[in-house]
Amino acid sequence: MHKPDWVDVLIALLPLPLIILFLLIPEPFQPAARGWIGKNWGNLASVWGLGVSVYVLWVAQGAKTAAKKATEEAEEAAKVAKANARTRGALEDLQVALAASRQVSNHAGVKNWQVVRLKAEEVMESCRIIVNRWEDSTALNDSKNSLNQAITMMRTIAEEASRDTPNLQRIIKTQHGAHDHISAVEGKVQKEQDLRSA
Amino acid sequence: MPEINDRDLIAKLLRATQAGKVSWQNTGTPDQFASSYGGRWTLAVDKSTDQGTDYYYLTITNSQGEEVLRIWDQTDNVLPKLFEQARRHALKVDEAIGDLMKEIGEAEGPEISDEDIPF
Repeated sequence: MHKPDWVDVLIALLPLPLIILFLLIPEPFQPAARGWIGKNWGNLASVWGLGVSVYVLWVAQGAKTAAKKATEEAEEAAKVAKANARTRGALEDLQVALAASRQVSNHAGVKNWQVVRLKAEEVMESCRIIVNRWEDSTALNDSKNSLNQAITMMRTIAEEASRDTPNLQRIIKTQHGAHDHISAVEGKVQKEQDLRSA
Repeated sequence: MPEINDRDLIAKLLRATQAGKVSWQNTGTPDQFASSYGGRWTLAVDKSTDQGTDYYYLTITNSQGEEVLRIWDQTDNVLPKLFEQARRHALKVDEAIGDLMKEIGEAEGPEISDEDIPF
């Protein structure tokens, strides 16, 4: 609850108007009032002290709640920043994988098998980095499955490219399959990033 | 987790494949079909032929590409059936047959009953 600034001043100066009020009591009642104050000043001070204590407690409670809220907001901001960094990193790795995957196809077309093998391994490596980065996130299992499938396909492409007479058609077909998997994951990650930045 | 033997594992996989729960795909290796699951494992079913005899095996690899399990075809398991189902799924054989049936059905026209025949 928001507390107006003047409340502090009011609480601190509360006894002052009471004293003035007593001083303004008309003459016939003033001695009695003074006598009563003289006898009960301790009680009055206690009541005022209790009021101040309750007020301080209330202020402290408010401060604690505000501190807790600030901590939660800071944690949430840290989580969002971490997720953003993770998404950005994954997107970069996926783009590297897709570029290497395209090169697998291009080099296979000209039967440059050694480069096909190297590029297939590059795709595997990029995909593995992402899968490892997402290791703890079960919510991303579908994307991890797609990338693992792409890794398997690229591994078989690398194996096929190492043979004496690699099968071009099989390599191209498998590359298309792997590329589709990686593209699908890239689309999801891109969408996630767009949603975060919106 | 309850212990499961190779035969039961393959039988369960076969049922899951028939129910369309396992998504098998072609790989660059001939007669090999693979499917990834759990975010870190890849199943592969292979057929290799040696001197006219077919051999089947199932492997599970982790995301690092390390093989963690290999099961060979034995007399009491249904690995050849699993391979065939994986192949049908990966090559979309059922879809091909379904489309064919649709085409044939359209070409044949309505069914003819006895009453349609004048003699």
